[in-house]
Amino acid sequence: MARPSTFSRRLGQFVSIRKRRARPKPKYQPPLTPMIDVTFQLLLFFILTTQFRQAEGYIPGTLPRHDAAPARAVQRIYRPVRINLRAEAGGEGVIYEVTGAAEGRIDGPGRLHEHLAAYRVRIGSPQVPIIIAPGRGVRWRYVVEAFNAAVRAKFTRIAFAGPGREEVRP
Amino acid sequence: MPRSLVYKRGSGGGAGEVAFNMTPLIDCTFQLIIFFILASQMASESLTPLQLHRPLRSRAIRGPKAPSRVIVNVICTADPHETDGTAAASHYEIDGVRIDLDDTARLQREFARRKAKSAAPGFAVEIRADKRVDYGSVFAVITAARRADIPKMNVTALLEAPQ
Repeated sequence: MARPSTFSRRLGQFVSIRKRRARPKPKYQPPLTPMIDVTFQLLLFFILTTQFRQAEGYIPGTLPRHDAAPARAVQRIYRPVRINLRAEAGGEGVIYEVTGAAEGRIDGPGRLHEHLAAYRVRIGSPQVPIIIAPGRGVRWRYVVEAFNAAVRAKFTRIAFAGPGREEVRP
Repeated sequence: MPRSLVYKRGSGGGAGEVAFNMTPLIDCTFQLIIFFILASQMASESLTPLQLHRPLRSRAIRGPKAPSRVIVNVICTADPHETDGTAAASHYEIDGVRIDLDDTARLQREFARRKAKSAAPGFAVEIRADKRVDYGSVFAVITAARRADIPKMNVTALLEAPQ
Protein backbone atom coordinates (compact mmCIF):
# COMPACT_ATOMS: atom_id res chain seq x y z
CA MET A 1 0.00 0.00 0.00
CA ALA A 2 1.33 3.37 -0.94
CA ARG A 3 2.11 5.68 1.91
CA PRO A 4 -0.05 8.81 2.04
CA SER A 5 1.78 11.77 0.65
CA THR A 6 1.16 15.34 -0.56
CA PHE A 7 2.80 17.33 -3.31
CA SER A 8 5.30 19.93 -2.14
CA ARG A 9 5.57 22.88 -4.49
CA ARG A 10 8.81 24.05 -2.89
CA LEU A 11 10.55 20.72 -3.37
CA GLY A 12 8.70 19.83 -6.60
CA GLN A 13 7.95 16.34 -5.42
CA PHE A 14 5.63 14.30 -3.24
CA VAL A 15 6.48 14.39 0.48
CA SER A 16 5.05 11.97 2.98
CA ILE A 17 2.61 13.42 5.53
CA ARG A 18 4.77 12.13 8.40
CA LYS A 19 7.78 14.09 7.13
CA ARG A 20 5.67 17.17 6.58
CA ARG A 21 4.34 17.01 10.16
CA ALA A 22 7.85 16.58 11.54
CA ARG A 23 9.04 19.73 9.79
CA PRO A 24 8.77 22.88 11.99
CA LYS A 25 5.80 25.02 11.13
CA PRO A 26 6.57 28.54 9.96
CA LYS A 27 5.90 31.20 12.64
CA TYR A 28 3.69 34.10 11.67
CA GLN A 29 4.14 37.42 13.51
CA PRO A 30 2.52 40.77 12.80
CA PRO A 31 5.01 43.52 11.92
CA LEU A 32 5.88 45.16 15.25
CA THR A 33 8.30 47.78 13.96
CA PRO A 34 5.73 50.49 13.07
CA MET A 35 3.97 49.96 16.39
CA ILE A 36 7.22 50.36 18.32
CA ASP A 37 8.04 53.46 16.29
CA VAL A 38 4.71 55.09 17.10
CA THR A 39 4.97 54.08 20.74
CA PHE A 40 8.36 55.72 21.07
CA GLN A 41 7.06 58.84 19.35
CA LEU A 42 4.25 59.00 21.90
CA LEU A 43 6.67 58.44 24.76
CA LEU A 44 8.93 61.23 23.55
CA PHE A 45 5.96 63.56 23.16
CA PHE A 46 4.78 62.94 26.72
CA ILE A 47 8.29 63.25 28.20
CA LEU A 48 8.89 66.56 26.46
CA THR A 49 5.49 68.16 27.02
CA THR A 50 4.57 67.02 30.52
CA GLN A 51 4.71 69.69 33.20
CA PHE A 52 4.05 68.52 36.72
CA ARG A 53 1.92 70.92 38.72
CA GLN A 54 1.52 70.98 42.45
CA ALA A 55 -1.93 70.01 43.66
CA GLU A 56 -3.95 73.10 44.37
CA GLY A 57 -7.31 73.74 45.99
CA TYR A 58 -9.20 76.59 47.54
CA ILE A 59 -9.95 77.89 51.00
CA PRO A 60 -13.67 78.68 50.97
CA GLY A 61 -14.97 82.06 52.09
CA THR A 62 -18.00 84.28 51.69
CA LEU A 63 -18.59 87.85 50.64
CA PRO A 64 -21.24 90.19 52.07
CA ARG A 65 -24.11 91.40 49.92
CA HIS A 66 -23.25 94.73 48.32
CA ASP A 67 -26.47 96.40 49.48
CA ALA A 68 -26.72 94.60 52.82
CA ALA A 69 -26.52 96.46 56.10
CA PRO A 70 -23.83 95.33 58.54
CA ALA A 71 -24.91 92.55 60.86
CA ARG A 72 -25.40 94.81 63.87
CA ALA A 73 -26.90 92.18 66.10
CA VAL A 74 -23.84 89.97 65.83
CA GLN A 75 -21.43 92.90 66.25
CA ARG A 76 -23.23 94.03 69.38
CA ILE A 77 -22.67 90.64 70.94
CA TYR A 78 -19.16 89.89 69.67
CA ARG A 79 -16.42 92.43 69.48
CA PRO A 80 -14.50 91.81 66.25
CA VAL A 81 -10.94 90.56 66.29
CA ARG A 82 -8.68 92.50 63.97
CA ILE A 83 -5.47 90.94 62.64
CA ASN A 84 -3.17 93.69 61.43
CA LEU A 85 -0.37 92.56 59.14
CA ARG A 86 2.69 94.77 59.06
CA ALA A 87 5.35 94.24 56.40
CA GLU A 88 8.92 93.79 57.52
CA ALA A 89 12.24 93.55 55.67
CA GLY A 90 10.88 95.06 52.47
CA GLY A 91 7.95 92.68 52.26
CA GLU A 92 9.99 89.53 52.93
CA GLY A 93 8.53 89.17 56.42
CA VAL A 94 5.45 90.10 58.39
CA ILE A 95 4.29 90.72 61.95
CA TYR A 96 0.75 89.80 62.95
CA GLU A 97 -0.80 92.13 65.52
CA VAL A 98 -4.10 90.96 66.93
CA THR A 99 -6.19 93.75 68.35
CA GLY A 100 -9.73 93.97 69.66
CA ALA A 101 -11.05 91.18 71.81
CA ALA A 102 -7.86 89.11 71.75
CA GLU A 103 -4.74 91.26 72.04
CA GLY A 104 -1.34 89.98 71.00
CA ARG A 105 1.69 90.43 68.79
CA ILE A 106 2.52 87.26 66.92
CA ASP A 107 5.42 86.41 64.66
CA GLY A 108 4.23 83.31 62.80
CA PRO A 109 1.14 81.62 61.36
CA GLY A 110 1.39 78.71 63.81
CA ARG A 111 1.27 81.03 66.81
CA LEU A 112 -1.52 83.05 65.17
CA HIS A 113 -3.63 79.92 64.83
CA GLU A 114 -2.99 78.94 68.47
CA HIS A 115 -3.97 82.43 69.58
CA LEU A 116 -7.20 82.45 67.54
CA ALA A 117 -8.13 78.88 68.48
CA ALA A 118 -7.65 79.64 72.18
CA TYR A 119 -9.84 82.73 71.84
CA ARG A 120 -12.57 80.79 70.04
CA VAL A 121 -12.60 78.18 72.80
CA ARG A 122 -12.77 80.93 75.42
CA ILE A 123 -15.61 82.81 73.69
CA GLY A 124 -17.36 79.58 72.70
CA SER A 125 -18.59 80.73 69.28
CA PRO A 126 -17.19 80.73 65.74
CA GLN A 127 -19.41 83.74 64.91
CA VAL A 128 -16.89 86.32 66.14
CA PRO A 129 -15.99 88.54 63.16
CA ILE A 130 -12.34 88.27 62.19
CA ILE A 131 -10.98 91.17 60.16
CA ILE A 132 -7.72 90.57 58.31
CA ALA A 133 -6.15 93.98 57.76
CA PRO A 134 -2.89 93.86 55.80
CA GLY A 135 -0.93 97.10 55.68
CA ARG A 136 0.87 98.53 52.70
CA GLY A 137 3.55 96.37 51.14
CA VAL A 138 2.28 93.10 52.66
CA ARG A 139 2.63 90.18 50.28
CA TRP A 140 -0.32 87.97 49.39
CA ARG A 141 1.24 84.84 50.91
CA TYR A 142 1.01 86.31 54.42
CA VAL A 143 -2.65 87.20 53.88
CA VAL A 144 -3.30 83.60 52.80
CA GLU A 145 -1.53 82.43 55.99
CA ALA A 146 -3.73 84.64 58.17
CA PHE A 147 -6.90 83.52 56.33
CA ASN A 148 -5.89 79.86 56.65
CA ALA A 149 -5.12 80.31 60.37
CA ALA A 150 -8.58 81.83 60.94
CA VAL A 151 -10.27 79.02 58.98
CA ARG A 152 -8.24 76.45 60.92
CA ALA A 153 -9.44 78.04 64.15
CA LYS A 154 -12.99 77.38 62.81
CA PHE A 155 -14.09 81.00 62.54
CA THR A 156 -16.79 81.46 59.93
CA ARG A 157 -17.04 85.25 59.60
CA ILE A 158 -13.76 86.39 58.10
CA ALA A 159 -13.45 89.79 56.45
CA PHE A 160 -10.71 91.53 54.54
CA ALA A 161 -9.79 95.16 55.06
CA GLY A 162 -8.13 97.13 52.32
CA PRO A 163 -4.56 98.36 52.53
CA GLY A 164 -6.05 101.83 53.19
CA ARG A 165 -9.15 102.33 55.30
CA GLU A 166 -11.63 100.46 53.10
CA GLU A 167 -13.07 97.27 54.55
CA VAL A 168 -15.17 94.39 53.28
CA ARG A 169 -17.13 93.21 56.27
CA PRO A 170 -18.55 89.73 56.72
CA MET B 1 24.25 38.89 28.15
CA PRO B 2 21.03 37.61 29.71
CA ARG B 3 19.01 35.26 27.59
CA SER B 4 15.94 37.49 27.79
CA LEU B 5 17.66 40.19 25.75
CA VAL B 6 19.44 38.25 23.04
CA TYR B 7 18.43 34.90 21.73
CA LYS B 8 18.88 32.74 18.68
CA ARG B 9 15.97 32.39 16.38
CA GLY B 10 15.08 28.99 15.11
CA SER B 11 15.01 25.68 16.88
CA GLY B 12 18.00 23.70 17.96
CA GLY B 13 21.46 24.78 18.89
CA GLY B 14 22.73 25.36 15.37
CA ALA B 15 23.71 28.64 13.84
CA GLY B 16 20.58 30.79 13.82
CA GLU B 17 19.63 34.41 13.41
CA VAL B 18 20.36 36.49 16.55
CA ALA B 19 17.59 38.92 17.53
CA PHE B 20 16.71 41.17 20.45
CA ASN B 21 13.79 40.23 22.62
CA MET B 22 11.55 43.28 22.22
CA THR B 23 8.70 42.18 24.49
CA PRO B 24 9.99 43.61 27.82
CA LEU B 25 11.01 46.80 26.07
CA ILE B 26 7.53 47.29 24.64
CA ASP B 27 6.00 46.45 28.02
CA CYS B 28 8.09 49.10 29.78
CA THR B 29 7.36 51.67 27.09
CA PHE B 30 3.62 51.16 27.41
CA GLN B 31 3.88 51.42 31.18
CA LEU B 32 5.71 54.74 30.81
CA ILE B 33 3.13 56.06 28.36
CA ILE B 34 0.28 55.13 30.68
CA PHE B 35 2.10 56.84 33.56
CA PHE B 36 2.56 60.07 31.60
CA ILE B 37 -1.04 60.07 30.37
CA LEU B 38 -2.35 59.66 33.91
CA ALA B 39 0.10 61.99 35.63
CA SER B 40 0.01 64.88 33.20
CA GLN B 41 -2.77 67.41 33.46
CA MET B 42 -4.16 69.02 30.38
CA ALA B 43 -3.16 72.65 30.06
CA SER B 44 -6.07 74.78 31.13
CA GLU B 45 -6.48 78.31 29.88
CA SER B 46 -7.97 79.45 33.17
CA LEU B 47 -4.99 78.23 35.22
CA THR B 48 -2.04 80.41 34.35
CA PRO B 49 1.31 79.14 35.69
CA LEU B 50 2.19 81.14 38.79
CA GLN B 51 3.64 80.65 42.26
CA LEU B 52 0.93 79.68 44.71
CA HIS B 53 1.39 79.62 48.45
CA ARG B 54 1.13 76.56 50.68
CA PRO B 55 0.00 77.82 54.09
CA LEU B 56 0.93 76.07 57.29
CA ARG B 57 -1.48 73.12 57.74
CA SER B 58 -3.35 74.18 54.62
CA ARG B 59 -7.14 74.00 54.79
CA ALA B 60 -7.41 74.16 51.00
CA ILE B 61 -9.78 71.66 49.41
CA ARG B 62 -10.10 70.50 45.83
CA GLY B 63 -12.31 72.77 43.77
CA PRO B 64 -15.60 72.09 42.05
CA LYS B 65 -15.88 72.05 38.31
CA ALA B 66 -16.70 75.12 36.21
CA PRO B 67 -19.01 76.97 35.48
CA SER B 68 -20.00 77.61 39.08
CA ARG B 69 -16.98 79.84 39.58
CA VAL B 70 -14.81 82.37 37.85
CA ILE B 71 -11.07 82.12 38.38
CA VAL B 72 -9.15 85.40 38.51
CA ASN B 73 -5.41 85.00 38.09
CA VAL B 74 -3.34 87.81 39.56
CA ILE B 75 -0.12 87.69 37.58
CA CYS B 76 3.14 89.24 38.68
CA THR B 77 6.03 90.62 36.69
CA ALA B 78 8.62 88.17 38.03
CA ASP B 79 9.62 84.83 36.54
CA PRO B 80 6.86 82.29 37.37
CA HIS B 81 9.48 79.63 38.13
CA GLU B 82 11.24 81.63 40.86
CA THR B 83 9.84 80.64 44.20
CA ASP B 84 10.87 83.50 46.50
CA GLY B 85 11.11 87.24 46.57
CA THR B 86 8.59 89.97 46.06
CA ALA B 87 7.20 91.32 42.81
CA ALA B 88 4.63 93.79 41.60
CA ALA B 89 1.42 92.56 40.02
CA SER B 90 1.30 93.12 36.27
CA HIS B 91 -2.30 92.30 35.28
CA TYR B 92 -5.35 90.11 35.91
CA GLU B 93 -6.31 87.20 33.71
CA ILE B 94 -9.69 85.48 33.38
CA ASP B 95 -9.75 82.48 31.00
CA GLY B 96 -6.75 83.86 29.18
CA VAL B 97 -8.29 87.34 28.79
CA ARG B 98 -5.95 90.03 30.07
CA ILE B 99 -7.39 92.80 32.24
CA ASP B 100 -5.30 95.77 33.33
CA LEU B 101 -4.77 96.40 37.02
CA ASP B 102 -6.52 99.76 36.98
CA ASP B 103 -9.51 98.49 34.97
CA THR B 104 -11.54 97.29 37.95
CA ALA B 105 -14.78 98.38 36.23
CA ARG B 106 -14.16 95.77 33.53
CA LEU B 107 -13.39 93.20 36.22
CA GLN B 108 -16.73 93.95 37.86
CA ARG B 109 -18.59 93.77 34.51
CA GLU B 110 -16.94 90.42 33.78
CA PHE B 111 -18.01 89.06 37.19
CA ALA B 112 -21.58 90.26 36.72
CA ARG B 113 -21.78 88.80 33.19
CA ARG B 114 -20.50 85.39 34.27
CA LYS B 115 -22.73 85.30 37.30
CA ALA B 116 -25.77 86.05 35.12
CA LYS B 117 -24.71 83.36 32.64
CA SER B 118 -24.22 80.68 35.29
CA ALA B 119 -27.35 78.85 36.35
CA ALA B 120 -25.63 77.18 39.30
CA PRO B 121 -26.44 78.57 42.75
CA GLY B 122 -23.63 79.81 44.97
CA PHE B 123 -21.56 81.32 42.19
CA ALA B 124 -18.04 81.99 43.48
CA VAL B 125 -15.08 84.08 42.51
CA GLU B 126 -11.80 82.26 43.03
CA ILE B 127 -8.76 84.43 43.64
CA ARG B 128 -5.70 82.69 42.25
CA ALA B 129 -2.94 85.15 43.02
CA ASP B 130 0.81 84.80 42.84
CA LYS B 131 2.13 84.64 46.40
CA ARG B 132 4.68 87.40 45.74
CA VAL B 133 2.25 90.15 44.72
CA ASP B 134 1.20 93.04 46.91
CA TYR B 135 -2.11 92.64 48.75
CA GLY B 136 -3.44 95.90 47.28
CA SER B 137 -3.77 94.39 43.81
CA VAL B 138 -5.75 91.46 45.21
CA PHE B 139 -8.04 93.63 47.28
CA ALA B 140 -9.26 95.29 44.05
CA VAL B 141 -10.59 91.87 42.98
CA ILE B 142 -12.38 91.38 46.32
CA THR B 143 -13.99 94.82 46.01
CA ALA B 144 -15.07 94.18 42.40
CA ALA B 145 -16.58 90.80 43.37
CA ARG B 146 -18.47 92.37 46.23
CA ARG B 147 -19.83 95.11 43.95
CA ALA B 148 -20.93 92.45 41.45
CA ASP B 149 -22.89 90.86 44.33
CA ILE B 150 -21.05 87.54 44.21
CA PRO B 151 -21.82 85.64 47.41
CA LYS B 152 -18.71 83.46 47.68
CA MET B 153 -15.03 84.16 47.49
CA ASN B 154 -12.47 81.36 47.49
CA VAL B 155 -8.74 81.76 47.86
CA THR B 156 -6.55 79.37 45.88
CA ALA B 157 -3.72 77.76 47.82
CA LEU B 158 -1.65 74.62 47.55
CA LEU B 159 -3.01 71.58 49.31
CA GLU B 160 -1.45 70.21 52.47
CA ALA B 161 1.65 68.22 51.52
CA PRO B 162 1.22 64.46 51.99
CA GLN B 163 2.88 63.19 55.17
